[in-house]
Amino acid sequence: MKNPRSAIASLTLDAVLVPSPDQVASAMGGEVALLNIDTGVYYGLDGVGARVWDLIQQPRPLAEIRDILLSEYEVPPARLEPDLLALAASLLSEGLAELTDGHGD
Amino acid sequence: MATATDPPIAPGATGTERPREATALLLCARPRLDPAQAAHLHGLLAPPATDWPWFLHHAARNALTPLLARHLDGIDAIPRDVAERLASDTRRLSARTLPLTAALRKALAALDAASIPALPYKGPWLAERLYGDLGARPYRDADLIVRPDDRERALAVLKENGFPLVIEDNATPSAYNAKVQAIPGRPERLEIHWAIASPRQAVSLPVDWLFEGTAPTTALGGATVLAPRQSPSLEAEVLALCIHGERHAWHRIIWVADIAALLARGEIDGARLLAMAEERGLRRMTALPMALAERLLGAVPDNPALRSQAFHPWPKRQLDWIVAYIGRYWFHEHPHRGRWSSWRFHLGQREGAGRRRWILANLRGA
Repeated sequence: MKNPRSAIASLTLDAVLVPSPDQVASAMGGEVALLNIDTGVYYGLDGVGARVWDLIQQPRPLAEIRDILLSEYEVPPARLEPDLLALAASLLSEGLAELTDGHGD
Repeated sequence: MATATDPPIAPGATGTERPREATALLLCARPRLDPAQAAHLHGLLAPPATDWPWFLHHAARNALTPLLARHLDGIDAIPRDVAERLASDTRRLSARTLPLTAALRKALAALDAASIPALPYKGPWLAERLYGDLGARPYRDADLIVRPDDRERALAVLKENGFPLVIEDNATPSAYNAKVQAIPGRPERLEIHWAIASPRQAVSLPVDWLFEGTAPTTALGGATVLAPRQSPSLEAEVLALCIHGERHAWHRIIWVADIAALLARGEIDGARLLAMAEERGLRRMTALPMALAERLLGAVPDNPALRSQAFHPWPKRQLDWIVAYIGRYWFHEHPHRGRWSSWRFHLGQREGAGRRRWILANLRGA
């Protein structure tokens, strides 16, 4: 399994997510449509979710994504962090993203 | 590339009754807008006069809906119902194009595993490469190219991997491509091409040209596929798209936009493209979308070797007629009546008496 449940359960802001090779996506007009190629299940992201998808196109820790979002949206860190971790966990559990070791630059 | 104002976009030549909306559509037919183009678009769509139903309808006819969604995103002047319709139309298109892309990836992987070289063509390959997104360009089918000698084996491998051949009712077998079912229970197809032109077109392009200069490339949302990377495959791809566009009389703006975007990437060797076009009798066929892009999209390549004049200097009267002919597809509701216009158009794209005679002999047009 590419994204073991234990890794998802212990997800922290140090984690680095990248899009899974097993998905295809389209981001037009502020929304993201995603298809898991293996399962054929179709997903949609909008608003902050779409922005997070945009940000994980380049490998970077979730903490860096949190900081970018805090600079772009009026939201307290205490609310953003759990939402970001929950979204990251969903992307991993649905096979749309995977964990990587670090920065890709 | 030139800006929106140099040279001016002139949809009036197409005979449209909605020049403001038509200009806005032509502006949207590009991957990105520079600040001058964005300001121009904002001005054109300022309330209250925009005919939104006309605008959205003709965007869909010209395969521009996703690019509209991109370029209109965040413009305050867009009415809420228009923005919602654009979003829902784009979602609907993605629900078709993403599964097709997934099917194309699987088909290419199956062919690769069987050591059959195959190239993605048009559809998602161009959408991602030219516009940066798999959904930026709608497509009903996804296409791939194999060498003619690999045709039977490719179809057999695809069948073994869940892509059965589809014979449409009343359809005669095609001499240059075949359709296989892309997704069980759905109408979308994968088109397998082993030649680029329909025999009715009286032109041809060596498929080997498309394979010479290819290399494994990351594309189609992260897959590794064989694709054009160097000459002559890059130039051959332009010629293939010109042949395809001519076959359909360039009746969608997106096909001209594709050529403009390809030429703007700086990968194409103009002298080589011209030599290849000349060798195959394709100078006019190649010059036309360049001229349309220059005149209607304001897309003039920085490299003079990639401007339409280098390929074929269209006489003004003839180009005026062609623009009006194609504009009827782009901006009018009703198609042309009679065959004379179609023959005139296709004859004007042919070089050599033999090819013209062939077109005349095939009265149903190319």
